[in-house]
Amino acid sequence: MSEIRDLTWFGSLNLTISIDPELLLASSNVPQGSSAKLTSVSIRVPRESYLVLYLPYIVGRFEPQLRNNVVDYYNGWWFEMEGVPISWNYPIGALFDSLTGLNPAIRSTQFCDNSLNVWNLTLRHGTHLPSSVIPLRAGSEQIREMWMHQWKQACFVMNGSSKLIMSFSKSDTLAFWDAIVRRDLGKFNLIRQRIVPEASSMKSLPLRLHLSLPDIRLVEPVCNTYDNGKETLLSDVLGQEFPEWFNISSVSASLAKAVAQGIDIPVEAPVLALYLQLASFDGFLHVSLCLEGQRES
Amino acid sequence: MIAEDIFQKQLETELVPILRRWPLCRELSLLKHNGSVVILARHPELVDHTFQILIQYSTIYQEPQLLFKIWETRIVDQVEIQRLSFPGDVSTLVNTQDFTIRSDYIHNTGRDLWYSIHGCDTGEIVGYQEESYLERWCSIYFTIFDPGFSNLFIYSDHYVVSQD
Repeated sequence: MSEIRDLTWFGSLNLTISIDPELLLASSNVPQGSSAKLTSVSIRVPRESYLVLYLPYIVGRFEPQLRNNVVDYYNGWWFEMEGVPISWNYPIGALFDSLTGLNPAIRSTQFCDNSLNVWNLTLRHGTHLPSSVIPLRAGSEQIREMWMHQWKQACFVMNGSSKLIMSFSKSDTLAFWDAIVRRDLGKFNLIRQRIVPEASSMKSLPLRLHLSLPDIRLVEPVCNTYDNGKETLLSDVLGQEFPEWFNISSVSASLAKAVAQGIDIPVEAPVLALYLQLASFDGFLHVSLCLEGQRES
Repeated sequence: MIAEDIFQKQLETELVPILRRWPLCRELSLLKHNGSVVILARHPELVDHTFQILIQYSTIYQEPQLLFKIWETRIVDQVEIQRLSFPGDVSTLVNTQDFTIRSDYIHNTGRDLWYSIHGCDTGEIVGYQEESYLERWCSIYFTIFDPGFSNLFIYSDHYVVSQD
């Protein structure tokens, strides 16, 4: 189990960020001495992180050729995929899995050894953000607070109260966040295990289901760890929430796949086992639903 | 904490009638398909500000979830326009008291941004008794929008009956 948690923690994604051409100086106005006009930035990021944490680096790379001076490296900026604004408040990996709708089995055959799987995004800026993007007025501090808020919710779901995490000292809270920023899994696990109870006393499980078709939406089902003494299976939850796709009483195959941390996960697995191995750095197990045949065509 | 079926029942039979009597309520829609209520309400002092309030069930906290937006009306070139207002300090527009109000809730299906009131201590604040849970809840939480909200209960039938 520890090995799987290590692998998910170190999972990464290749991003290529293009910038909205409207934000750039005309070619003739690029400062002398600048290298050729930069139209995209490529970066590898951990799946278990927030996209906006990389804004200062990405905006900084484009900065010499921007039409306007940068007054804030967070506020007013957002990412889009194929014209769809991306909500930054979920782990990058969960966003990738749900928005690209990639079926991992197809993905592995589609990309061979000498090619890279790259997620192409566009960086935009404006005074009016899309309605699905949380304004970042307080920069990295706001990101940390938002992440801590997720953990308070997760703590409540698992323990029936947020008191455990609310009693953390300021230094504990900062050390917990620092472990994410510095990618220190040992330190992260030490603090995480103070919030996540023993499996036998886990009340419910923090679970988020992401869908991108027919519309982008999020489902937060009530997922009790045990149901009548039996462990709740992912198929129980999916069958209840999406009976049209996951018909558990029928022998016919499901119409969708469940993907977590980029892995095609078996729906007959207990949610508790999936949570303990694949839960994200915000305390939730993020499962993206990918329609069968969505990307094969 | 309130079970979802009790929430739905109290929402329809107890909370909606109370909110319809609220003098600042301009419009109320009960959305039965997802068990929520949307209210448009005047600001108690600022005539050019309107609250859009959404009450739904939080499956995380198993409590009522209170979300709101603030609309500001402006006249531009003799045309009245309404735009969303997300001020840096929301306490200038609502009665925040000790509530934790955050502008970071993206609606699960609407994909739009709302202010949310943190709900983890709701049970302690409201009291755990199931009877009239939503009535007690709104008597506390709606003072965010209207400091005089409790006046609604002074002349209510329920109050008179409970005094007998």
